[in-house]
Amino acid sequence: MTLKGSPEDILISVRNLTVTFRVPRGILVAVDRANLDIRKGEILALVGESGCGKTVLAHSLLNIVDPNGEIKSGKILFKNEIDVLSLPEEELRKFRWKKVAIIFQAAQNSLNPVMRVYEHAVDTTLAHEKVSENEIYKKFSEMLKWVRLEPERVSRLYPHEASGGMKQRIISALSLLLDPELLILDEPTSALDVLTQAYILKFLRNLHEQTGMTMLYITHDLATVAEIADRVAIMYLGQIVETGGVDQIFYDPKHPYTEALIKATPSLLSDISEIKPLPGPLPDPFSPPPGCKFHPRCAFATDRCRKIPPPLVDIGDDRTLACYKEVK
Amino acid sequence: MPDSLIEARSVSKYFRISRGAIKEAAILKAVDDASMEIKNGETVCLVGESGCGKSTLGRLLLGLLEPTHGSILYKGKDIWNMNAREFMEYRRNAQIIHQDPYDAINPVRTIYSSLSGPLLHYKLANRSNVREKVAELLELVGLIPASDFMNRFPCRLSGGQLQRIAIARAISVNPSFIVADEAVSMLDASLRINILNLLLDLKKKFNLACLFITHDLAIARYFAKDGRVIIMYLGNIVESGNLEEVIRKPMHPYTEVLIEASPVPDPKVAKSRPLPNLRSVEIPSAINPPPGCKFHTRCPYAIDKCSKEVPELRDVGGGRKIACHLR
Repeated sequence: MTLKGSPEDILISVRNLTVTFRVPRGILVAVDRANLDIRKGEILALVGESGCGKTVLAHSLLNIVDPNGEIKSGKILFKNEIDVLSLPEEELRKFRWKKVAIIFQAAQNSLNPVMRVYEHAVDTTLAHEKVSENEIYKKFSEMLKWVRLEPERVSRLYPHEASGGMKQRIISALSLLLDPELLILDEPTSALDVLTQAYILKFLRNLHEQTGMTMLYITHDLATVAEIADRVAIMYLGQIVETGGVDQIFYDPKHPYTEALIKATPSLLSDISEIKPLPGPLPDPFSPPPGCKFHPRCAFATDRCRKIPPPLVDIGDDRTLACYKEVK
Repeated sequence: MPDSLIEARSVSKYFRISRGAIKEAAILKAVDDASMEIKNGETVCLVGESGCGKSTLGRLLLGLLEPTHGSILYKGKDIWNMNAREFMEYRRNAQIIHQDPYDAINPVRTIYSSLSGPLLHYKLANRSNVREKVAELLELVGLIPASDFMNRFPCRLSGGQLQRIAIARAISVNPSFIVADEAVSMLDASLRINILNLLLDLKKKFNLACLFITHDLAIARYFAKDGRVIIMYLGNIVESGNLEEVIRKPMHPYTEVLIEASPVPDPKVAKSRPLPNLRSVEIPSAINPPPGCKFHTRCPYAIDKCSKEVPELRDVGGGRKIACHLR
């Protein structure tokens, strides 16, 4: 397994990660021998349909798994030194939020309804650092200004008094309190209106450009990826099938799945007659097809695709691909 | 026969709500003096941010809510002055597809039971052939083989499959008008086109008039093609016209902002675009909306007059209507 990028450029690397869940129907392999590198100072978008394992992969970066799940195998290395999956509980608690912070999906609901906004900030900071409340408030005010909220007014609010877009920005401000090195954003705008979405995406992009913070942006919607990402990783049924720069992925997709996703994204500019739905249904995740998992939906599938799964390999130009069509 | 199939004439819907511990009554004007019509077989998209009253207007047209002022006409007849038989006939003709299929389909009934109910109620099938009819419906919405789905419970179906069931149920009673309220926004981006294509097929097949409610202009553009669009802001219609023309050349500043904010799946375009030039990101409260033009607090072009006088929705030719003092 070779992936490009020298070790010092890589903030966190995932190798051969497999995560399974015990459910009434049997064992579900949510992440299947996935490989991914997140480089220092980039915004990487992780894109795939619901159920492809992108959220599970992101949670694994913090070694969070639901009680019925298990990280079966694999290695997650932070800065080439911290082995995330073997950190003891106390170290893990420090690692989370301080090194890697996450904004969960539907984060608007993760605020405590009986705590004022600034109390969240105090709570979060004191769990990690010994600082005075005054200092926390100062830092938090700065962060709130970052997200274009007025600290004096907003920090006194209870969550129910804030709109969805405001709550999303409050959560963003909270996640930045401890200067994490990696910020994971799981569908941060999926419940928001287009205008709020445009502002949140622009805010994240600006934050990234000014602080150089590394971000992992998870979504099923390619249209927003174009706005925010530097690089893109495409995930299908638990595996990364293609990675590349955002321009490469949009203008020159190599994997048939990537191409199909792009063709299924309507926009205000494109020719509508070129929009095509994804071919075929998503296979049953409990019995994924052998060989390349995309082969039943792929127009280029050969006998080899049906039998031998294609590995994710370097194809030059700083991109990786798991498909026999391009890599013979 | 009148030209329009369904028409809203200056309809308003106010909700009385109470705020805080001490019940202080307030009036929420969800829809405020809106007029529109939909012709036989026509597609109209209703676009706006959440809370702008687009779902309320849809429900008014369906007769699910009674307007506070104004009237809803179906084939020229006020639906709230119909006799029971006429009203039932109108109800059969006007159906809805909800946003969340998980909430819209009864979880403790089998698919067969959910779909056979309306058919039997409207006497479109009898006990002996209802099973056959349900099978036909399932095949029509692409759930094949139908026998696989009939006896399943909703929890065994995916979101996309459930939305197909919801569509099957809406068209089962041979309606002439369908309201699709954010019918694909809960679905994965990759699944949306499939469901939209199904709706488009059925629309054509049965010559359905359709009100397509969405907050996503790109989806509206795919669905409506040469249909019309109505843009709503805080209970008012601010612009209407041919969808493609409105997108190419928006006239109301709010429409302009909505278009500028829509994500574009093209990295070079997306990254070079400036943010819409809004004076405020937050939508004002619908309970206490700004006076004059409700958009003036956010509008980059607002002048004095905008905060004082309410702009009328006026015809500017070419089938376009706008409510703005400046354009």
